[in-house]
Amino acid sequence: MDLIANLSLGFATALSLQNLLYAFIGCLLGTLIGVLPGIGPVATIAMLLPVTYGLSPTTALIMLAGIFYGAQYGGSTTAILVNLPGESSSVVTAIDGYQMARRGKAGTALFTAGFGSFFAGCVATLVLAAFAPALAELAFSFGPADYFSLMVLGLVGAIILSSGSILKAICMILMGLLLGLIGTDVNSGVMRYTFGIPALFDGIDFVCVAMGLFGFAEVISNLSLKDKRETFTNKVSGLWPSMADFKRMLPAVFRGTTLGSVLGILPGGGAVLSSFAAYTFEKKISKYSDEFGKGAIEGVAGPESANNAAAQTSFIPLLTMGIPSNAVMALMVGAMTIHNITPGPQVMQNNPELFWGLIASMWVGNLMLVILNLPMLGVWVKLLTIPYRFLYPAILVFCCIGVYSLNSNVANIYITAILSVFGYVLAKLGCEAAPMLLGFVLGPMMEEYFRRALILSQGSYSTFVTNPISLSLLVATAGLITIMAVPSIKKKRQEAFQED
Amino acid sequence: MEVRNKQNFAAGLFFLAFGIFAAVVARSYSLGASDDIGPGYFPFWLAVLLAVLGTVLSVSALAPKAEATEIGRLDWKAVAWIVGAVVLFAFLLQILGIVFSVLVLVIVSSLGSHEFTWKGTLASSLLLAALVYGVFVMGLHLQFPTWPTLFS
Repeated sequence: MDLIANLSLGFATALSLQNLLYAFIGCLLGTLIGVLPGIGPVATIAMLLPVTYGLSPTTALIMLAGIFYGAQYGGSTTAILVNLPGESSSVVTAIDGYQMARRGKAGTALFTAGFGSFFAGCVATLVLAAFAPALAELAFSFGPADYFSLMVLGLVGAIILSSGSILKAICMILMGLLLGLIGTDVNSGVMRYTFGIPALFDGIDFVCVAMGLFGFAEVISNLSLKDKRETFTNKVSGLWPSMADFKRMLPAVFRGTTLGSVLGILPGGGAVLSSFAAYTFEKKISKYSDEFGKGAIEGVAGPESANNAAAQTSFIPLLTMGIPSNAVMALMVGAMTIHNITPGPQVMQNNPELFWGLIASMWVGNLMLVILNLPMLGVWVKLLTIPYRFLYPAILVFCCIGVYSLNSNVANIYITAILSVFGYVLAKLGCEAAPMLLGFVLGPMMEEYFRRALILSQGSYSTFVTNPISLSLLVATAGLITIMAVPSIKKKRQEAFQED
Repeated sequence: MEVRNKQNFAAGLFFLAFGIFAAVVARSYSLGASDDIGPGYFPFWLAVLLAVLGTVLSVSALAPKAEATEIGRLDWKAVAWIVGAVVLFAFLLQILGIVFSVLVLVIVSSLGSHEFTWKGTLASSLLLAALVYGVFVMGLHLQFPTWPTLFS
């Protein structure tokens, strides 16, 4: 069977000593930043890109992916123990997980999160292995018009997941698209929006945008906050859940995994959306719905499984179509580009060891995380006692070095600094940065596909609606916008994001 | 008339201004024809769309039924310390080399904290400088000016 042959190639790659080592480093770092509030996977992956320059592309991606799903694990630990979600995808875990900890069931909550994540990770890896080849096959039949429409759908999908105003999210995407066009136009050689500044001739590097918006700007925002923490570190005992707990947890893990796997594949889907959706869903169907908010085990099991499943299946659109569905995946595009790999359906054919190695490494990584997380709990919790005033200068140092070493140019640091002020001000105005980063990465691609589609159709705009694939994607986009505009659903969506 | 949603109103004005600026600049690039779009085509229409949506956002913030929001106070002091430290780092890097620039970056940025202490800051800056030297210069061989140019 193909699947087995492919997976064994993958495991052979993932289990090589070097890849195992870097998967471990990735998971460790991911857990670390997941535990530490105020720094997320986007900034970390951006910071560590220079570290991967010397590695082979496969090893580099394995490590970066490890950071991403490691962060999901780490985030839940702090959410449960200190009511401080290290990652936005663990926000809902904090609701019931922290209450469980307060009732002396911190160990059970942590076990539930770990078990749910591991189970979800295993299933999602299989989903990825089973569906990705078929989707890549499909992607080969996509023309430029189809790709353009797919990106439109992806961007609109990304808006649903952003919690704020839809209109503002669209504006942020447009800003991102425009920023992405800065630099020399590949077709005409015209310098666009460069204003004679040499550092802009090749365009702004996406790492600068990611660091500015997610690294520096967040440091500035956090600096004005004072932190106050209450930990339940000493009360972690009895990891193993009782039989009754186990019986309640298991179905929630199954449901969360299913929901997360599906939502992760959708354009715009991802860990955050899935965990919110899973929580709402569990609350709705549970027999114990009155316990939610007071320490219901389903409220930990569902969202934790869902966010981990989604973190992994969100690689599917990236690896098969080359379309990033969220900010982390946008960074993965950048990482692949640095290593001269164009994300898309051809990856599976041209770099099978990268494709299958990455998938297998996710399973290996999940196993590592379970082993890593439970015994090392004490260490992670200790980390929380590091005050932010020691943390943020370190973040700045790593960001600066990361940006500088892109091409040994200090101009990148200046650009990042300017973008961070933008990011900070926009955040104060309630505009989220993630859609902007997504737009930034997709901008040049969208323009290119748009141009090619029009050349093929000899200038007829109807190509976007006469082509069946493109038409159905655009119809789906229109459907999404309509659904979001319906007042009752609009209200639901707001509720889902205000669950805490 | 009252601005109810202050956040959206200000954001809308910002998008409007950005859109107009980008559109005006894009006019200086050729728009091309639809079967061969020029370098100005895509940015121009994106910018126009941004300006239009920005206007809609601002206008809807004036509606009597709009959700009332206030703009949180901008902490310019934090911005100045952080951005200042980073810009200073970039400026000093070529002159002082990475090790000393990291010291400066850590110390200056730490000054922006509410809980600044010299002892802790000096210790953490030395630790970070040593870490950077060990990991990035010795370990990963990234190309930096390492020491002040006077020394080499």
